[in-house]
Parts: sequence; C-alpha cells; structure tokens
Amino acid sequence: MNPIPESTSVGIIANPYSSRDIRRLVSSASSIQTVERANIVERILVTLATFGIDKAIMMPDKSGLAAQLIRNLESRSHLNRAASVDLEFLDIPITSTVTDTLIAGRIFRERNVGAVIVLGGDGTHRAVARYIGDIPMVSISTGTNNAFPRFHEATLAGLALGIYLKGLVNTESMVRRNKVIRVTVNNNIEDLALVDLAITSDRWVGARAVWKMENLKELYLAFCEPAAIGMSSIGGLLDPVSRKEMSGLKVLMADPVECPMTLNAPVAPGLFHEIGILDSSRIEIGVDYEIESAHGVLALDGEREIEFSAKDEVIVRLEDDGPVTLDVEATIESAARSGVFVNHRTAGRSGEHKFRMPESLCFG
Amino acid sequence: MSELSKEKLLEAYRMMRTIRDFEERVHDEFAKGGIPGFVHLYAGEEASATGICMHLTDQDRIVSTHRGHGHCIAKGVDVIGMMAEIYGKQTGTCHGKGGSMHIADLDKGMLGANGIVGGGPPLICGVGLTHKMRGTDGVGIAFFGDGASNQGTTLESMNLATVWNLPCIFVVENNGYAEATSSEWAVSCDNYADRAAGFGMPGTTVDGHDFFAVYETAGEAIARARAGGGPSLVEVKLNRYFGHFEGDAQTYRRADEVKQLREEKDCLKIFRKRVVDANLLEHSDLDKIDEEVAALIDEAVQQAEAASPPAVEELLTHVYVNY
Repeated sequence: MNPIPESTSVGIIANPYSSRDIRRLVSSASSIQTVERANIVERILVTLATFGIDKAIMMPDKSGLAAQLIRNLESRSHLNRAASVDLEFLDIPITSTVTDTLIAGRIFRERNVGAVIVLGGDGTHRAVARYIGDIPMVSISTGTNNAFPRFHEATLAGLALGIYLKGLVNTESMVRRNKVIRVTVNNNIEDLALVDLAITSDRWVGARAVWKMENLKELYLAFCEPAAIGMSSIGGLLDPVSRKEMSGLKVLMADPVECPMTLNAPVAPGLFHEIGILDSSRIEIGVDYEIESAHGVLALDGEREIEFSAKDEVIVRLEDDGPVTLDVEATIESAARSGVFVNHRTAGRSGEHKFRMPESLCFG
Repeated sequence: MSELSKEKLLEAYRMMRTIRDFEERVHDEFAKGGIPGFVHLYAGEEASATGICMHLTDQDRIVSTHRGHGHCIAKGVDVIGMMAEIYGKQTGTCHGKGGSMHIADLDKGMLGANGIVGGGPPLICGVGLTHKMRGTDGVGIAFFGDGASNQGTTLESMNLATVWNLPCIFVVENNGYAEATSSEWAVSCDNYADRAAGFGMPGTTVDGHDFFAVYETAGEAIARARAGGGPSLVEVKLNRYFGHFEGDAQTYRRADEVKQLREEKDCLKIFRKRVVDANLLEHSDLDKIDEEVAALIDEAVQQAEAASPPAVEELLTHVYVNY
C-alpha cells in the first residue's frame, strides 16, 4: 500500500438517500437535508481548489443533490474557488438505488482516482468498499449511526485529502487498512460488512433498517467501540474491540429474561434498548464461523439485505484486507508537526513555505 | 414482520390483486366507451395503499386523490358499488353521482377521492383534530402525489398538524410525474422527506414496490400517531402503469418505461416470489385468489352495466349532509 497516490483526481460519492430510513420514525435520528449535502461537497471542493487539485468526478443522482451543488457553484463563484475544480458527473444510468454507488465505485477504480470522498453512513461506506479496491476512502458521516465513518467537518476532510494527494507529508499513518466481515450464502452469494453483521429473526428485508432489537439474535463485529451508536455499541459496552485489534467479537442474544446478563445499549440515536446477552466470544481473522440461527435475515452494517432459511449455509469470516481509509486527524497532525502550514516571514516578506492558505479559503 | 400471519399475507395479496384487476378492467372498459367522465388509474401503486391501510380500522379516516380507486379498495369500500359508481349508476357507492374522482364511504372511513390536487391534506387535519378532541386513538391518513406536494394547502396542513400535534400521517405517493411534468423538474426539494424537517416532523422514504417495506414503515408511523407522537411524513416512491388519465398519450415517458417497470418492479410479482420462496404460501394459494378476484371484477362490471343511472329527480339529492 503506497501512501503516495499516483493520481490527484478525486472521486465523490454522496449518497442522497442516507439518513432517510424508518429510524426517523422510531428514534430521534437526524435527517441531513439535500441542501446541506450539497454544501458539504462544495466545502470539499473549496479546499481541494486551494491545493490546486482541479479534477473531481462525482456520482450523479436524481434527487436534487447534484442540481443543488451546481446551483451553489454558479451562485457562489464570487465567494470561493470551488467552481474552479473541473467537476465531472459520471455518465451512468441513474437507478436511485445502491447500484449507482456500486457502479460509481467500480468506475473510480478503473479510472484510478487518488481517493474517493464518501458522504453517507455505514451502509454507504460498505457499498463503496465493495469495488474500490485499495483506493482510500475519505469519510464524511451523513448517515444514521455512523459507526464506521468518523465525524469530520468537510473542510478538514478536504484539507487532509489535499495533504495526502499532494504528498505534503509522507507517512504510513495517513492511511489505514480496515478489517472486514465477509459473508457467503451457499458459496454463491458474497457480501461484506465493515462494522457489524447482524442476524435477526425477521422474515423479510422489509424497511431494511434494524430497529426491533427483540429480533436480534447474533452479532459479528469487526470492531466495536464503547462510544458508538448502533448495534456495534452492544459489543462496545460488553467487550470493546478497536479498529486495529486483529480480532472481532461474536455476541449471542435472546430475550433479557432468559439471559445471564443484560445491558442497555444506544442502538440508534436517542434510542436505548435492553439487550439480553447469552454469550460472547472473540472471533479470529481468517476463520470460518457458521451462524447459529436456522432462518432469518442477514443485516449488513445495519441494513437487512439477505433473507435465508434452514436450507441455506451461511458462513461468516473476519478478514484483515478490508478497505483503506484516510485518517483525517493523523494526516493534518502530521502535516502540522512537519510545519506544512507555517509560513516563516523574514524582514516583513514571505519566506519559504510548503503550503499556504490562500485568501480564498480564509475568507470564503 | 413475524406478526404477518398466513391469513394476513393472503389478505394483503387479495387486496393488491383486487386493486390491480379493478384498474386493468376499468382501463379496458373505458377504452370501449362504457365509462363516462375521467378515470385516473392506480395500477402499479398497490403496495402503498395496501401496506398502509392494513394497519387501519374503520375509525381511522383517509383522504385520497383523483387517483383514488386503490385507496378505496384498501380501506374496504365495496368493489361492486365502486364499479357501479364509476359507471355512473344508481347502485354506486355515491348513487352514481360522484364518479371515479369522488367515491366516498364514510362508514368505512374513506372520506373521499378528491378532484382538487392538494384538497385532501386540509381535511385530514380535521380528522386528526376530531380524534384528538374525542380522545380516541384514531388516526388520519392523507394520500397525495408529488404534484400536490407543491400545493400550499398541503404545506399549510403539515404546519397545522405539527402545531396542534395531530395524529396525521402525510403520505406522498411519488410516482415521478405530476400529470406530464417530471417531479425531477417540478419539486425543488426532490427528496420529499426533506420537507418534513421544515415542519418539525419526522420524514422517511420507502420503496413503494415492496409491500413489506411499506407495511413496516406505515406501522411505525401509525403507531407513533396513535401514541400521541404527532404527525409524520412518509414518501412512497412508486410508479403508475397507466397515464395520468385514461387517454394520456404519455409522450413524456420512455417508450419501454412501463414495460420495464412491469417486469422488474411489479409489487405483486415481488410479493409472490418472496412469500413462496420463504415457504409461507404456495403458488396455488395465490392462484386461487387470482381466480376469485377475477370473478369478482367480472361480477362488478356485469352489475354495473345492468344497473340504471340515477333518476332525474335524484340529481339534487345527497348534495348536503345534515349533522
């Protein structure tokens, strides 16, 4: 994994449908407006422009996000330099489904972009990860639980991306390889989860999101942090596993009255639920685990995706060759410690500098 | 979804099949010239009305649109009477004087199809206020389309429902076209659920081709309203198989658009595959319903054709109701 990219073009996948599912009704989950999503992309473009990165390729959509972004760029060109970036929208059929994200990810890999900016939650990142190979993702959390993407202001994510693409610091700490959970059904369906694979007793994929915790039977977690929202919080409060640890966690659950222990977990924003824990154990990298439920639904990173029955063989495996992400904090910190941002002035004149914030960024 | 028993699954399929066959038959009969006035058909959108109305009782009220046949059937209005109404016959639900766009059955909680685009949402605020003042756990559902979503009446109603915390659910059936205008061109906020936030209510988007997705989402929205949680907005993304009205040349649609939708997104096909694959129902169970519904629609048309139109002296009756 070479930390210095060959390409300085940027791919952008901004999921217009994240944070709109049924959890708006059953919890206090927020909804990121289309206008704000366009603003976020604009702020990234502003920052990229300051680095002289002049090419971005974006997934198109029919939900108004691209249209709003274009309006922003046209109407604010006097305020900032976002419009100076050559923004290309992929010429693909728009299905307004996850297929758009999958196709965009595949094309970005074919075109060898330097990085892919992802606006979405856990489900969006999972979809992007399926086809982009080792191209680093830069995460902007606009989903519901956002256990995988860390929260970053878009301007700072763009700043880290610019540092990375321009090679202003050369450190392995900028990019991180993530773990991944891979699941196969009868050796022919293959899918993945970046945070959690849940097995519920639901019959149907239905409204996709998992919010009825009484139906939750098994969890396989690539990592689980104590300060997380969503199903991974169950593992995070029980037996935390960091993103770097070379193991994961398996948790078996049942009705709290039947279990030796329970915990109260924040399973969605503003929604705590008492979870009955039957058992938990670490899972190892590269080992096949056969699930214990006879039938139900497989939920990947919070979305019910695959219905299975007793005749299906479902195998779960934790692996260490998941997608690559750019560590925004580490990158900016590394650049700061290297003096990238500092302009040393001598006798009232500008001296040598590696990078200087132009006025357009300071006042835009 | 485990609460959906075999009987409930059969009920859902029968409801969707009845709407589909009813609309397909009206399409055919209208083309033959047997039906007066305008008709706007709901075929393709069955999972929405069914997935929502299966949660309702007769005390719950709905208001509909010019495309109201599906909502009527899902709310339990008699199919024989509906067909006669569309034919303009005395035996119709409204004695043949309302026609397709004004079918109403208050006993069933169906407050009426509505020829005014955006006419339904204000009415549902009245329903919500009634339930709230009487202390019932009843709810009101306003169905409207992406075209009505831009009407001031709709936006005012959403505001009022929030201010008064009414048990109302605003259901945007976004079939992509307001008459001939694509919603991509005409709705400034293309994700309609976004607008809910502006009124301080939760908004969510659901795939209207999937009965199970609609059923789950509607169940939560309705339960929330019954429990005093107030209004919410559900955007159901779906497609209609026919034109805006019968006779619409649909030059604004791709030539193969509907064919592709029927092959890939048909809610009845999706439902059948899911329940059969899950070993919950047999094909034969569903085939039997197909036969029964076909017979019912035949019977409805025969009775409608045989019935008399309203007498001249009846024309000014049933105009006002005394409470």
